[in-house]
Amino acid sequence: MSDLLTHVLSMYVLSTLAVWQIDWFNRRYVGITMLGAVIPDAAKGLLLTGPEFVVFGIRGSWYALQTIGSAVAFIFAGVLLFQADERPAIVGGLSLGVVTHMFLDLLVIRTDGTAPAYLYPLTWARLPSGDIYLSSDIWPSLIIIGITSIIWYVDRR
Amino acid sequence: MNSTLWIRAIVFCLLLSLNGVMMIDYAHHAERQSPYPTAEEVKNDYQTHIGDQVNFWSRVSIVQEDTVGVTYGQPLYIQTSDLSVRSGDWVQVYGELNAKQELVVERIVVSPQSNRLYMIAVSVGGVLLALIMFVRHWKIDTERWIIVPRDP
Repeated sequence: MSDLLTHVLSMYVLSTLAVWQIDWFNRRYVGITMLGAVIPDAAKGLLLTGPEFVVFGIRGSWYALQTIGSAVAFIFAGVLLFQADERPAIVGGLSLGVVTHMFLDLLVIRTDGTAPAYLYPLTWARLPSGDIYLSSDIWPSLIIIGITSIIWYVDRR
Repeated sequence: MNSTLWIRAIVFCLLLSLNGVMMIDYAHHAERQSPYPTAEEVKNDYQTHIGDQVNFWSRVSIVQEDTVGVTYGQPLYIQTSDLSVRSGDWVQVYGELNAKQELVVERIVVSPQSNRLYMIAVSVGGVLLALIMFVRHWKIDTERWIIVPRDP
């Protein structure tokens, strides 16, 4: 996973471009896609306990939260918090954020050349990694900060 | 509290519980699905895993000349000429366990400690930014306990 700022700003850029180009894509959905990009990083709980934890003798793995199955559960839980006529757009916005997040994570360098099982629980298959950057590399965030600044400036005009 | 709100609350809790179930199931099955021995397995019986491939992240414990110390269940040593590695950095390594408690590395990447601190700091900033953008356009309707647009 690349840093969360990169994920969130990527969604700001894509969503703002969508606002410019797509009539029905309202500006209020920009924040929704940005929140969607945060969802898979619920797995960052591993920074507190390590990849696994034990509660009442039951072992759990934070890695489950970076998978498509967990994202779907989070999206459908989250959408229940919104008024009914907004729910289709909310599902779309959150899903867009999740899918973009996972795509960017597939580009992360993995020494064995395979990404984690993001498609769990559908399959344990490990997709090939893109091997472009480390999640702790600084340069991806600097690039997206630059692009975001331009988009933000143009959008304000 | 009306019936619709109760139903939403129950389904919401069930969906979050589903995530808890997946966390347990993932932990239960991940070891069998992984092509590599776990740190626990290496720790418990190193000898049977000599010659096995491993792939893991570890904090660098020591750096002495061309030897880097990492931990995967137990201390392991890597011969590397990468002098940019410092104690406290993180390394991601893929290699083979040998009889001398050394890791014969096929690939190693280094993540400096300062980069990891940067990643955590800007990630917190990313969450705050997403929340700010969200709150600017959405609010809670406290009569119905539902999130609605500020400007419908």
